[in-house]
Amino acid sequence: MPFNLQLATTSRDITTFDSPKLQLTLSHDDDKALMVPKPSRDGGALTILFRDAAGDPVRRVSSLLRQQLFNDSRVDPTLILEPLAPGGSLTWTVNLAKYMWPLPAGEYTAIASIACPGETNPVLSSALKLRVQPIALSDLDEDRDNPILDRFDLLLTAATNGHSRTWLRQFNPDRPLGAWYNEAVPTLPGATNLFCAAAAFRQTESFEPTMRRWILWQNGPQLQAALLSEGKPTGIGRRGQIPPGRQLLRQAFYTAANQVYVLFWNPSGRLECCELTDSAVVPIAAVPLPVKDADQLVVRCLDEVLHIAGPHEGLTYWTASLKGKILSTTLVHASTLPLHAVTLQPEFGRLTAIFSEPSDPPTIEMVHLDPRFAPQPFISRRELPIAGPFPELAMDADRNGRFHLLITTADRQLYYCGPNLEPLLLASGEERYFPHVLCPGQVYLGFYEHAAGYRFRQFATSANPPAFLEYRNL
Amino acid sequence: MSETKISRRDFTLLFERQTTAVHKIIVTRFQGHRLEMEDFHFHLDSAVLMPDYDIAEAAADHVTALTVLATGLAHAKQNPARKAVVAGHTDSSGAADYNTKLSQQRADCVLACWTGDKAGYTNICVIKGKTEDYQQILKWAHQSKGWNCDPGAIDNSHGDGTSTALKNFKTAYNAEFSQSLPITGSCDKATWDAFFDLYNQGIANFLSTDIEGLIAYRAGLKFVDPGRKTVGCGESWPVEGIGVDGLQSAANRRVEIIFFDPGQEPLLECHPAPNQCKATECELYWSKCFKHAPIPVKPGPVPVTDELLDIVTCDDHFAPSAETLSIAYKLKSLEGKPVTLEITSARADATPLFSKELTPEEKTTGDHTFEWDGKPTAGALKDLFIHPLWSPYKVTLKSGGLKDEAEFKVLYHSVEISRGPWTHDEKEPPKSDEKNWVAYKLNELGFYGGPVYHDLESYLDKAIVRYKANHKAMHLKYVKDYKTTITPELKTALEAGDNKRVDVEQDAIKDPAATSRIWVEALTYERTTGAGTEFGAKTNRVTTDAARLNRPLLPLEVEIFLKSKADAKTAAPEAIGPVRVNWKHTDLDEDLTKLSEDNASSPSKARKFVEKSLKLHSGGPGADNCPRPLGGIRNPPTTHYQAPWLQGSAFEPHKVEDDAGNKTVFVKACIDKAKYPKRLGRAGIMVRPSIIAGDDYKFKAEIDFTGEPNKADLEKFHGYTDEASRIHADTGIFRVWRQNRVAYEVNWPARTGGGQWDLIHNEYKAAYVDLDVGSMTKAKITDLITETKYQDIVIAQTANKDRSKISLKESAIYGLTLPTQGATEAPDDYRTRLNTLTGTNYWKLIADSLVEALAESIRPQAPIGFVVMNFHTHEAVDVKKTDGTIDEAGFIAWTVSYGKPDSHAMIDMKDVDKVYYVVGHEMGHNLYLRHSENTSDKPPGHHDTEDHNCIMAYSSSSSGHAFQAPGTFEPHFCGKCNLKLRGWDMDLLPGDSK
Repeated sequence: MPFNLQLATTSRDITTFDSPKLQLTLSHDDDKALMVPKPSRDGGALTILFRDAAGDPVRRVSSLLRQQLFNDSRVDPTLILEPLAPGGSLTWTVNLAKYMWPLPAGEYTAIASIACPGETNPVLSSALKLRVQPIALSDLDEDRDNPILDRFDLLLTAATNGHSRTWLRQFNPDRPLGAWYNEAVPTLPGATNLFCAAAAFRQTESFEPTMRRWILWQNGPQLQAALLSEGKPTGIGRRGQIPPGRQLLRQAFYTAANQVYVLFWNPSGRLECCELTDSAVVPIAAVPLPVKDADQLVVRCLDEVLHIAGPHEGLTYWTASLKGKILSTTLVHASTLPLHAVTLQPEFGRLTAIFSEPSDPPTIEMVHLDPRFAPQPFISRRELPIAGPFPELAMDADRNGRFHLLITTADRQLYYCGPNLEPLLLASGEERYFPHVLCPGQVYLGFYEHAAGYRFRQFATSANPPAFLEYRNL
Repeated sequence: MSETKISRRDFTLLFERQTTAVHKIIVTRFQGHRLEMEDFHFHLDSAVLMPDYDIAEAAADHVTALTVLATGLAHAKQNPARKAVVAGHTDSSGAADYNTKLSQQRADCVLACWTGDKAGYTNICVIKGKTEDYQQILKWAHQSKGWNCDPGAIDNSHGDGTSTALKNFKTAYNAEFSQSLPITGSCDKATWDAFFDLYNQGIANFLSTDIEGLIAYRAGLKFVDPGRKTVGCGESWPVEGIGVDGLQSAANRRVEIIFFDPGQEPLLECHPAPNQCKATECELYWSKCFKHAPIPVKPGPVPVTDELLDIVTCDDHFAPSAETLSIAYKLKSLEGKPVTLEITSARADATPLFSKELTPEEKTTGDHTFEWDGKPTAGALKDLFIHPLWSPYKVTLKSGGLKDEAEFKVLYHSVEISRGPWTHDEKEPPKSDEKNWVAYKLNELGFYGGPVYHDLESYLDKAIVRYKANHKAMHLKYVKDYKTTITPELKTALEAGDNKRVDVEQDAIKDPAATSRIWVEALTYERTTGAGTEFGAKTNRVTTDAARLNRPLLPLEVEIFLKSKADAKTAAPEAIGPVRVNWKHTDLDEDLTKLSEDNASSPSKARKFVEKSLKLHSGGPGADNCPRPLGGIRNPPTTHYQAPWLQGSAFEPHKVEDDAGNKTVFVKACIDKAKYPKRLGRAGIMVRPSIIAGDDYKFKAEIDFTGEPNKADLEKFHGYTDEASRIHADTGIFRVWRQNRVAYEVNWPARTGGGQWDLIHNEYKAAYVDLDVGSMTKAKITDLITETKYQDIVIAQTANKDRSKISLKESAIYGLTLPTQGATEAPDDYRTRLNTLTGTNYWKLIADSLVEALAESIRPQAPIGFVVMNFHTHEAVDVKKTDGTIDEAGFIAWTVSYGKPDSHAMIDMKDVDKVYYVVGHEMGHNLYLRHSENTSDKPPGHHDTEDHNCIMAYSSSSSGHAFQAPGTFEPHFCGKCNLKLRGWDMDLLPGDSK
């Protein structure tokens, strides 16, 4: 066999939040050029097998699995061969964020193999050992927007030994199994209260905006922002003083020209929108709102229109200009229950809200609507056979208007409540799960577990009993 | 001169007389008075006295034996002092001793008949009777009494005619004499006894007395020698050829009854013992001693021969209403007397079914034929026609004491199955009877509108909805919106005959070798609300089928034919009678060879799985239709016979009844001419098979006489020996097929090359789903939707809101300019992002709206049928490496193909090699099939877990089984999919084919 395959990485010791990058080098000693699979179009010729400490295979990844983890399209097995010069070598990098979800804590051995034309057996690499350490998730911010692709970002902060580390992970929300990227954000000394900014624009000329994301954080009285590209620093940043007497809302947006806007709540009853420039926070607009609890406000901006949803007479939806003029007010749902959480995606005209009352019987009310076209929301009200209170609630509605709910309880249990299903216990023991539900078609449940980190898993609700679907490809 | 009279007997006496005187001695002869029984009353070597000889050969007024005997009795009564002796004689042919004995026996027989000694008569007959003796007696009885006991030729041979005559004789005798002779074809002692009774009756008739009177006559008889009432003289005293030995002489063979006045009696010592004759000592026939004066016997009138009534022939069977029954009879001398012809049946009451007194013209002496039309004049069948069930019938011709009878039958010939009408009068109901008119029209148009006038199980409502759904002008977007209302539009369409389709092919109705299809719509899933669909739960296929589809209806009728005189098939509906017709069905074994094999290129387990499933919930031998628990109608063997029919009276006028004991349903032939003139003589049933494709049936109608009191006779007449020998008709095979069509093929972009429709057609055909792929319309997307409509959809469903950037391209779905690849954007990232952009973020979002837009355009032309849209998600684009060189030219992302509601299959045709696999797969979704292994949503329980070759898996995926590589292996539906396509509730099917 004239081929040789080397597998290497720069980071053998990683955490449950990391996605390592593996370097592969394929070489041969033949005196003529040999055809080999093109790394970018290998038709699944390359696979990397992970075994745990006991030697048991736990995961096998390939470019075909990568497709499956990103889209539920049919897998394209196209294989393109290219010549490898006599005695030549070919080196490329595999970013495992795109091929699999992070490995749980443990020790692993990875071996790559590649099927080359004319070779009876695949070419095997040497073994690569990896050690994965658990790390505690302390904060999570999420944002979903659509500058060209519909994207869903998690900003994960883990605190260890007195300092914190942060990762930015980006998904296709339609299939949040593989990640566009999963990068550790450079350390931000003194940073607290990290959150993402959403794109307030949409263009279709290139995919570049999709890779870019502003993150913001508080550093004492200062508010800072940095533009990342595929999770990596671009060197572009903003900073300014938080206006006194204002409550910083962990929501921001930015334009295609990288104007970053931040939001404050003025206790006098106004939502204030300010631009965060290179060195200052500059007021732009103030929108008077009859809201008592600004923590429940959700604000998005698209095409210079502010979209606001918040707790007023239940749930109210406003639109306002960037000059502060209220354009419309819609009472979405007059619930008697306290509002727990709201999500708003003006790109898709999508508004969801959860109301909850933990007293006996614990009651959940969920609302989903398109405020532009369907003034009548889908509403589901359920009395839960689970004792409240519910420290965490996450919900999404599927295309048929059915609600899927994740609940954590005071006794540290995580339940899934699906349509026509009794609550199903998914996990227990964590202080917080940071649950998130996405159900664009299939149901994906994201939550944190200490040994596994944070991941979304596909949940087959039609299985009997309902169960997670794994893509181990073994 | 003295005068002395002496007889020859005195010759030995000594007479003393004076010698000088003249003495006159007169020798006188004794006087006897003789009755002679002529020779032709005995057959050669027989001692049995015939009552008469064959009157056909006799003069009208001749002397019969009974006349002689009667005359003898009358003579004795008139001459009470006279004593008699009966003397028998033979001719000289044969040995003398034998002749003596024979003459003695003959004399004894005559004596027995004369004196009423039945035992004596019978003993002689048993010993010395011959076949020709009782043949002649039977003929005499037939001729004299009109009994149907003519044996035919008197040939001394006991054949069938003689046996029948004996039976008929005994029957008639038993009836008249209140006796109970066993009805056999033999002549035994009891038969001779019966003959003797007839002799007595005849003698009594001559004497114009009765049996009591006859006894009185006989009481006065005196005999010369009570110990020697008869003598057998053998050949000693011939009356001709005297002295000639060996002479055959009829005149010499005779029996004489000779009377003597007192003192004239002969001495009979010449017969010292029975069978002994000393002729030399005989006084009686010594002519010098005795003279015999004949006693005159009046010849005739002979009533039995003078008056004749005879049924010469009668048809064995005929077909009433189509032909007449011919009764040929002969009469003689009955012109002045009433002669009656009657038709009776043991099934009728005492009143004859038909009774007629013959007209003068009909009862003249000679031969006649009476033609009867078969229509009774009295009783339960009055004014109808007689029918086979009351067979046998009896025709009786009688006059006074004369009677003759004959038997005839009405027989079934055959049955023929045909398609029955929707209404008994074969007319559509009046339009004013709205519901029934609509049901009728829907049936006529092939939509199973339900039994007319007897709607049940929402047949009409379901059919109305299916009709509207199939109609261009009434098709609606959502099935939930259909109303069962009978609208003017519906009536207009029905009146115009719109949408006529074949419900059941006809060939197999009459041809047992043919196979016909029963059509059921292959429903695809539909939107039940604006957003939700039926596609989901495993049972949706079964529940929606049950909610929307009517079980097919096939009215079958059996027409029953009679056997004509010439045994030909004859339509005689008025004379069929309420005969029971059993309707049976056979559930045939499926030909599994039509299913894909498990071989190297096609590793399918479908055949194995289907074979395993077909035998679930056994319905008895051979039964493999879908069992009831799985959505079909196959029952356990105890009730399976009831399965494929509409029970009760919904198929007017036929009433389906249950014979649980014989495990059959039956229908009695219609006899109500007044109410159902077009259904007369027919027994129909409404076949109602399942809606499960592949279920097959072979039907049989058979005439069964169960329940008829004369079942044994009827079965004998019709040659029934077992069930197989019953008169019956078989249909060919009827098999349920699901039916659908490909209405439109939309290619976006236009493409060359075929759609592998033949392969797709064959794949569904294996599940008995007939997919018409030959009549589709091919279109471009721009033929069907406008750019504005397209823009509206994109703006509404995607994040793209700028109309100016959106255009409807004939080349691909994505209507915007593709993003350019960034200078540092890795080729695989760019490809993946293109996929996400044009697939997940675009095509996937507009698919439902696009389907609805297509439907809005297509359904007014093609309300039903698949719309298969083959598309590219985006235009081809060259993907570059980061160094600017081409990584992949002409890349097009593979996105998602869908089976969408309302029969829309949306096919990403990026890889044209997989058209068969992908189109078959997505159309499978339309037909409720769920994903198999190697897919992201593979709900458990939907597939044979042993079958890795199912089309409902994804092809060539990284996690796929090796068998899912098109080009290498040929995919097929797994066995569970196959059965689900047929309509089985696969929830209860086995998990695998192992």
